[in-house]
Amino acid sequence: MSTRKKNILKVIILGDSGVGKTSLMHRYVNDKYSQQYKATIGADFLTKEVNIDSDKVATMQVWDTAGQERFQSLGVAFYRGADCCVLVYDVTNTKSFQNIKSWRDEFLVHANVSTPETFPFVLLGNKIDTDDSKKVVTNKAAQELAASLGNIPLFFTSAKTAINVDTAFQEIARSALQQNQNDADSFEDDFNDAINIQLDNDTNSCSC
Amino acid sequence: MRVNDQYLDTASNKSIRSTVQSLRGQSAFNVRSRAQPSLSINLDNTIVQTIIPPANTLLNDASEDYDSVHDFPRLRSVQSISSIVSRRNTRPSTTTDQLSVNTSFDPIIEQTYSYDNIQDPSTGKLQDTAFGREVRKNLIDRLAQSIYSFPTSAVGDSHGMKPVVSNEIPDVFIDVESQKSNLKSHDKNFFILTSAGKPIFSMFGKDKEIIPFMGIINTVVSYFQVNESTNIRTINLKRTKQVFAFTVKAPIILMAYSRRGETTNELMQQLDLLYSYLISSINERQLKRLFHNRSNFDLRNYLEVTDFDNLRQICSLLSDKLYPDFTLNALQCFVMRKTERGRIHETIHSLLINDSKTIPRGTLLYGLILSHKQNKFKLCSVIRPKGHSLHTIDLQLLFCLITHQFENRDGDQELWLPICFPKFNSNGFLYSYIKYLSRADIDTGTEDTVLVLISAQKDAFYKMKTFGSNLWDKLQKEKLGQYLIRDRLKFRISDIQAPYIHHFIYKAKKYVQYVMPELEIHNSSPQKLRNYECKLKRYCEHLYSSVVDDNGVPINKTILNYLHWKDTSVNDDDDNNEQEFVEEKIDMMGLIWITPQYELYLICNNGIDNKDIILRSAKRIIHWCKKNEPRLFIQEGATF
Repeated sequence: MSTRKKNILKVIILGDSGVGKTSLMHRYVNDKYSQQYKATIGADFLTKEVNIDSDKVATMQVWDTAGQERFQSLGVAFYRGADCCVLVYDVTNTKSFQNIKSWRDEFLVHANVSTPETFPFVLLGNKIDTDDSKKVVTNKAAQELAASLGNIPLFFTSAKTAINVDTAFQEIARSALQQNQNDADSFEDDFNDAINIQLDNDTNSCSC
Repeated sequence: MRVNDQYLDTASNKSIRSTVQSLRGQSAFNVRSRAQPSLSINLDNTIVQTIIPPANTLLNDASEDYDSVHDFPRLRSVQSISSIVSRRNTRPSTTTDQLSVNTSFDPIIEQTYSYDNIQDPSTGKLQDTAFGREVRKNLIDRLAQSIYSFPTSAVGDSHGMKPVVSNEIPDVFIDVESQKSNLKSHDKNFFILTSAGKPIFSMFGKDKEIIPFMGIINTVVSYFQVNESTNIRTINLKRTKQVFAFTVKAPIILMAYSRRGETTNELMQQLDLLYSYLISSINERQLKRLFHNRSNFDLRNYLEVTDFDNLRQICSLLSDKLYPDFTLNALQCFVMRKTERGRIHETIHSLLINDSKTIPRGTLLYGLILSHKQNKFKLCSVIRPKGHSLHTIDLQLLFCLITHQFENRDGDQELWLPICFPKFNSNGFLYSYIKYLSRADIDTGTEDTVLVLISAQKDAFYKMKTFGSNLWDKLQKEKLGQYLIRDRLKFRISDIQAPYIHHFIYKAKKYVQYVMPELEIHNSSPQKLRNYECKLKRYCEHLYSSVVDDNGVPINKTILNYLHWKDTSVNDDDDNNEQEFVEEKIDMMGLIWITPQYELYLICNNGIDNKDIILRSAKRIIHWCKKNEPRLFIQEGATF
């Protein structure tokens, strides 16, 4: 139907504080980058129209969450009903890499997704533009992690120099749409909900 | 009886404003939750920021807009004069306290009447004290001019026209903000989203604007669920008069925003209607099933285009039209002579009894004959089982569907429509047979008349169709059909001997029905009509909100309250020296009268401020409505 509205894809970005979640999102949505670091508080919301495989259009609703511990109580609310989850670590920060698995678990615990095994995650190693000397997370370790999390797609990105950002978000949109449609297909309409009414019984109606 | 008006002068205005300015930067929230009826939390800026950064910008902006919002160009200060009548004689001090909390315009409680005084306002006292004969005569002359301000009405019957009441009452509800055109500029908006924060519907706003906004709404709602284990009910910014009302019915979240001075309760009632519409289209069981294990479900794509049209229409009826059906929770009835209505009901009843071959007992659940004009439905006739009836909201939803389904279609069409009546049973569908008995035609003077027959049986279409046509044949044979398709007895305000009254709405609580005079519009461009209706609507809303507490419950079983809207911007004259035309001064009075039997909303002509005259007119209207009750209301209907 031509008047049909575009699918809304809810995408959650997770990762430690300072790995560049907001920068990635701004690079993708506005194609801008700011040197200045401002911690996200709570969550930020951005919207972008995406073309997927050049024939499908959807609206991506990106939920950029705060990495800091103190905002985690709201996680439940943010994760609910997501179509794709993006896990971000900083290639110059080992701890942020080690925490990826716990971010994923945290998400699965709260998101209440229908099929945890197949729910789409995308792993991003950010700040790839930095000097090799500063990089502490090897590509190999990242690939192993991606494989162990169920062969999830892995991208090395830089929000600063725009490396791989569009490619990564294309993949994110594709996974999200796939997930959205899988869920929609698993449902069958059933409008057989007629009410059985006996006129002599009391019903919960009001006077009019 | 002394009129003891007090006006806010500019000095006190300034002092109010300066307090507001000094308070700026703090956002005082009055947050109420369902579980705790009145939980007040003061969130300072920093906390708000940490939870919801974008919302904070919105709130901040709002507080910066304070001055502009309050600086009505035409209306400097508005005040109300209230009198409370109580049969029970509750302590007046408490009631008045409550009242002052609730009216947005700091009412000045003037006098507490005893009931006896009210019963007889025209006795001597009046003439000899405050109003000398001369003053009184002048006043009446002045007021008489205001009633007939339409050119032809001055000459009355000489053109074969009755004097008509001018529709040019002033608008005291001008909103400066609404002249801009972004999401924030609308003084009222509705949002519907899923528990995952995905948008379903909003009255205004483009996708790009509303999608992030829905995320914020979802976050606010979730914050209270997570941290307070409760559902947020309202955010009330008293100084900017902004109200955000929430209704959380997982998996659906609804929010209404208003700057129009509506109460949380009114907004929540409106949200309930929008939610009910959703349910009427998909039913609650279905909805739960759709979201079961799939909280990412995108309901927007499940709903039909019709659903969005209908939601939009309901929103527009709720915000821009004088459509008391929703606000009063009552239906309007088609005026018909008592004997005519009685004979119609008898005919229907006898057909139901004798025609049990076509329509076995239990097939027909409910039947209606409706008159339809300008998107308003009036009840002509009700066929219902003894002791059962449908909720007004259910019927209003049905009306919305009919309006939309028959738009741009010819009259011979019949519809068989599954519809869930949420107040009757929110988990299943009933089936409605809908057919137009006649279409509006100026030449023959007929109106749109609709027959609705409701059944619980999915396959009862042909039974309903046959019964429907038998019914119409019989009504025509008995020459009763003409009474249904011609609106002969509609009345105007000038038909009632109630001087200086511009408009009224009278609700008979017993029948859950209301009457009001036909709107008299001389210049019927859609925009003017819309403005006029909106104006009347807001006067009525304002009247109502002046007598209810925070939960929207009238503060007493019996209430009589006057509201006075007054222009006190006298000091602005310096700026207006150059102007040739001086605007009519705003001096509007309204009256609301609630008793266990009826509710009366009165809007007077501009310039009337004599409460005795108003009260006398009010009583005449009530008397007239009571006398004509069998004509104005369906009292019993055809019961079986």
